[in-house]
Amino acid sequence: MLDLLIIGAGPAGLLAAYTAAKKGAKTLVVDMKRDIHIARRACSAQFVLDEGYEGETLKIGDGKLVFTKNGFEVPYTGKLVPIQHNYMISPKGYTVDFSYEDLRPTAMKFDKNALLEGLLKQCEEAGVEIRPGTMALKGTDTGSSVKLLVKDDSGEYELEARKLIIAEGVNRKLTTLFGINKGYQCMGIPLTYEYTLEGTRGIPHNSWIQYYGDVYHPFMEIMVGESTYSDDALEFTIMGIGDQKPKAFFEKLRTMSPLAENLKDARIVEKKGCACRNYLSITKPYAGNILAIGDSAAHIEVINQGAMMCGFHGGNAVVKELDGKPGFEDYSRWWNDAFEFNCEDPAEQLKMYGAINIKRTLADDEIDYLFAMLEGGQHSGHFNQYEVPKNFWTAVLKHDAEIKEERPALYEKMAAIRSYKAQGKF
Amino acid sequence: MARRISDECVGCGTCAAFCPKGAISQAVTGYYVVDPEGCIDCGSCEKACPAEAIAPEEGQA
Repeated sequence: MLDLLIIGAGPAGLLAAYTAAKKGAKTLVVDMKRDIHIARRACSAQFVLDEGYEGETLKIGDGKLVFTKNGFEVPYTGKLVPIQHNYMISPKGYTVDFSYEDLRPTAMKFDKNALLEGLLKQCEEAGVEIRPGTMALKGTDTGSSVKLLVKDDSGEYELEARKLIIAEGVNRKLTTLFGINKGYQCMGIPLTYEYTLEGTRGIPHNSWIQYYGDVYHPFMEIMVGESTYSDDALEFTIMGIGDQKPKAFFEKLRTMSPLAENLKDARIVEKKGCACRNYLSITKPYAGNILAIGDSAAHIEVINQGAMMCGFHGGNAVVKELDGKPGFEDYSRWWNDAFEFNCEDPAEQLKMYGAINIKRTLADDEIDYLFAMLEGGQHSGHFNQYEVPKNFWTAVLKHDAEIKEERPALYEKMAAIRSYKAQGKF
Repeated sequence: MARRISDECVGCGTCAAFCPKGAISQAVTGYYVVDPEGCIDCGSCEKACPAEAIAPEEGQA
């Protein structure tokens, strides 16, 4: 019998497989994809270099990523593009710059295919068996093992292992089937479409840019990041929901927005997409012999480096469990501690991030007014998606007296934000 | 009765992850296909497809 069966050959599943196999566990990974080394889903993720981000301080070494606090390394020899600026841009083009004074990178854009290839090679060397084109359908925990029904080109068959790790990504299909998602409600299904463009004009490179305002998109920011596709390429990430599809928003952006001139001669060289079921994080991500790691238990996403941390701890947890120790409990403790979305009151946290959300809170002219106020200054270089909006409002609130006098209606609108600040929430 | 995936498909696999019947899989081309035998026409894949690549087969409402 197998010691460990893993569903999903992404960064979380592959790290878990390698970690467990290296310690002697007989491990098999299945993935419904045939070409598991090719990332076809939209992924604007970058390696975040903030000190203490997700309880880690990631360093990039020679041919490897070093997880200095969790204590492991991962091979990576692909392209890296330094991200020096985190820009927020208003409808009229006023720009708030989050960067370090010495312009040291706050993040690194990486090539996900190269990351996956490195992780796969490492797994093969450790003796992990990988079966691409194999879809997990359903299964049962017998108490002493887990049985999983899978399907490939030859038909359906059953696999059995002492432990099962679910690393299926954001949609919680198997996590739900195995009862680990019980009690969690899907809060929506955001759609993402990502265009890689060449031939744009006047849009900065080495940056992570968010365009805010109805003139760009009615309910979300437009995100523009670096690409490893070519030196000229940039990635545009466009969101949608329900019948409001991302493609229509892109057409509007390209033809009618303040960016129309910048995109006039741009060519689409690559298109990717994804959709996810939005759930709160699972605080007890295991049941019996089954552990859910990475995005399959997260509030939306742990981002690639977080996925690898989950894989590392998940693999070790299984090794402990096989040895009769409470590895899944240990994993759960680490999980609840490491990620910001795992907090005492996630509903309250969600409410606060809603209140400080720039797009949701401000009208276009207010975005222009506040961004103009902060333009020219250099603000904390932190890249962390949780910290950036807080840093924005901290900078805005320094001008509170001025705002009260000049824009009393906006001042009133900011009451909730002022109150969160006063409570020390940021 | 079945859904069909057009060449707007970008190969992200979202549809397969949303299909309650496991009736969508990746073809050797890298793109995804619906097995008409397994499809129950629930439309979950169509709603989730970020590329607007999925529609009922022609002739179906």
